[in-house]
Amino acid sequence: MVAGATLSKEDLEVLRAMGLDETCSFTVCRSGGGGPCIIQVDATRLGLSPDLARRILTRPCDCPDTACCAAEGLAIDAKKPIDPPIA
Amino acid sequence: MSTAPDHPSTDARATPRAELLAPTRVAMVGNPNVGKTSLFNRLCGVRAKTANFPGSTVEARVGTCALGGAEVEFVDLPGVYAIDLELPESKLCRDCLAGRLEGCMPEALLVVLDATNLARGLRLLRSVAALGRPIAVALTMTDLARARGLSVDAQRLASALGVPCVEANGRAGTGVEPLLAAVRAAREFSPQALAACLAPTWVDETVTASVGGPNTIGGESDRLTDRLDAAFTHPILGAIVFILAMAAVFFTIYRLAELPMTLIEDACAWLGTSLAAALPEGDLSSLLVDGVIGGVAGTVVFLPQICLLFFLLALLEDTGYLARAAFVMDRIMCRFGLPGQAFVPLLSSHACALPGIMSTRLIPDPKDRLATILVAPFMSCSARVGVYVLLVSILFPHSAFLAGLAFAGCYALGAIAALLTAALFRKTVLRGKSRPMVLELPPYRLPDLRAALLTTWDRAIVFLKNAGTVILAICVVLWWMSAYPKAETPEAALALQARAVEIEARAVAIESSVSAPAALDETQQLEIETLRNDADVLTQRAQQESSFAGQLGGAVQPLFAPLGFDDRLTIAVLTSFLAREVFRSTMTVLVGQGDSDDDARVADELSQATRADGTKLFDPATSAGLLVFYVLALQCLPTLAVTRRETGSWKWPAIQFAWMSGVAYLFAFLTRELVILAGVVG
Repeated sequence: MVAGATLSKEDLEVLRAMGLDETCSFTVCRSGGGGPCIIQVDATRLGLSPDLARRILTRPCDCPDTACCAAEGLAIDAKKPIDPPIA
Repeated sequence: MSTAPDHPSTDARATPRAELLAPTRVAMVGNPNVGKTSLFNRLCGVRAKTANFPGSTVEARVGTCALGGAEVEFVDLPGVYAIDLELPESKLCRDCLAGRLEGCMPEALLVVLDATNLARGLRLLRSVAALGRPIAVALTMTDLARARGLSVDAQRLASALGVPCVEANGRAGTGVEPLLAAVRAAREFSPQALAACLAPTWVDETVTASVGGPNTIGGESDRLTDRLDAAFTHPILGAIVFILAMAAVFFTIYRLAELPMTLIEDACAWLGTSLAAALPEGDLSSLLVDGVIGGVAGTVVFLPQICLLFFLLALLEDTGYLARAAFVMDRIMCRFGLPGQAFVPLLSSHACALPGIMSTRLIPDPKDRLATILVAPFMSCSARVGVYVLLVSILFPHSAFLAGLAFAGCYALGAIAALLTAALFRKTVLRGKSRPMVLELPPYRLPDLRAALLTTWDRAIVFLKNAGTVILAICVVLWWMSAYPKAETPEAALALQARAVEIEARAVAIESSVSAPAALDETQQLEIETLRNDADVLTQRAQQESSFAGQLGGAVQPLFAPLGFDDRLTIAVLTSFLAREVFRSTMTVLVGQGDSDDDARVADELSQATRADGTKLFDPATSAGLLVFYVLALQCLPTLAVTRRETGSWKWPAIQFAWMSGVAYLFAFLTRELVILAGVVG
């Protein structure tokens, strides 16, 4: 689940209008690995730039798809970015 | 399927009151990718045009549709996620809905909702309902929603919203008549109750009531989409697929456009010849043949390429692939401050910058779009090829390998210049934050041929209007600059003409004396032809040199002297602003024996040309500098006209021209100096 984001007010409004708000759950369809990543919110797939994905913080989700997220190493720790920067 | 909330007049088509209240202008509002434009196309067909509003960089489409014996105007507003965002498309919607756009005050709204993503659409609906205008709702994507296990119920949705709601599918054309009836009946229902639904749970409750609840949406995994996305968005495989797709698109464009382009060229040539034959020789004939037909033909000839490009792009966009391609290319393009969507316009510019610039409408962010427009003319277009061939042949007459390498280098130099300029502009004149790269990836679908054809038609009309107005005016001005003031026929040309007449007269006299009508022999014919051709070349040369364009060339020649250009080369460079191909014909007139289809002969003639001091005009240093100049300079006034149209201001074409000319001059100078330093001599 989205837990917050370190984005400007305008960017946050765009994301909220697209359905990616603080209360939504989403599935990571493709992690970026330094490039853009794809998430699915409800029925909509969104492509996010790496910079944007790093700024959206997530919380673990107890949906059946969590295993999928875990496999990607995402959304495991509280308030972790969708797509953490590569060390 | 036409449904309305509980109301005394549920059958709006049957009530005279509804007919009286039928709106005359309806604005269509909806999220992106909900099928709004398909519905608009179905309602209005070819009775639609693109409308640009002053001060707005985004556009809407306006069309008419017969409704109850009257014409109703539909305005297809750009897809928005919310109307209160600080984005150009949201601002256009706000202005239109608030009646701030001249001649675009909607009396009712048709809100298009995607049944697979109802929650997002309902939030938009609630915000536009606050404006108090009558609303009808079109529920689209219901087939997809049902395939995903949702129980779509338009009647329950209508009851929940308190406004008419109809299932409609613009692609299949279903639900159009009930939708029109709902639009006609919209005024009978008040959207005030809808606007007052401020409870946070209202959206979820409405979704649950009408399509089975938010948790069911997207719950069923789409394995095909997953697999296609895995391939199309893969960093390597996705790039390969994209390159193959673009190669297929451009191969198709070049192959299929070849015949109609030839036909247009032939038709224009026939029209020019016919007019020249029908009209007395003089200024009017020259204006129509050389200025109007010759000038506009040089632009209109690209119409088949433009149509094919937009048709294929519309198909690709409709399949859902183009969004994935932009996603893949973003990895590369973002390094230069451009979005992934910029790749297609830049690639298109290799055919011609005009369709390339027009296709930047794919790019949502205004600054990204502007940056792409400004750098697109750096890409080597097909009009440059003739100049490249000529100059490369002069530079490397005996090495096909080096000539090929130089030719490829021209393309690489143009692309590098475009990307580096984009990076620089995004850090300077276009500094500022782009909108975050968040791209909706629409579901994969079969493309809608009808919609693609309508898009192509729309783009073609826009292009032809531009060619028939701004570009035509430019052509006429350039013709005037080349045709005036009229030069006296040079003495040498008169002498040559007199000599030709003398030979002809002598031959006729001999034939008369022997009383045997016979044609001139081949040697005499050839001699007369050569004399007349030489006289024509001298006359044209005198006209070129004394015309305003020639005088301008002479006046600015000192500016080009550091590049090694003399008066003639400067005139050729200036006249090629009409079209780059003009360089070749101008140079052959000024220093050679007139234009010819024989590339080798023309290259040979030019390579022999000398300056006033006896040195070679096309020495390696000057030729290399000139080649670099042609790669980087914006010598295409139609491109400036299209840039002005797309940006809505002359400021950006002026910046584009100044920057490209400055870069071309600087790098042409540096190239010439480097070649001289390297000691390369012809």
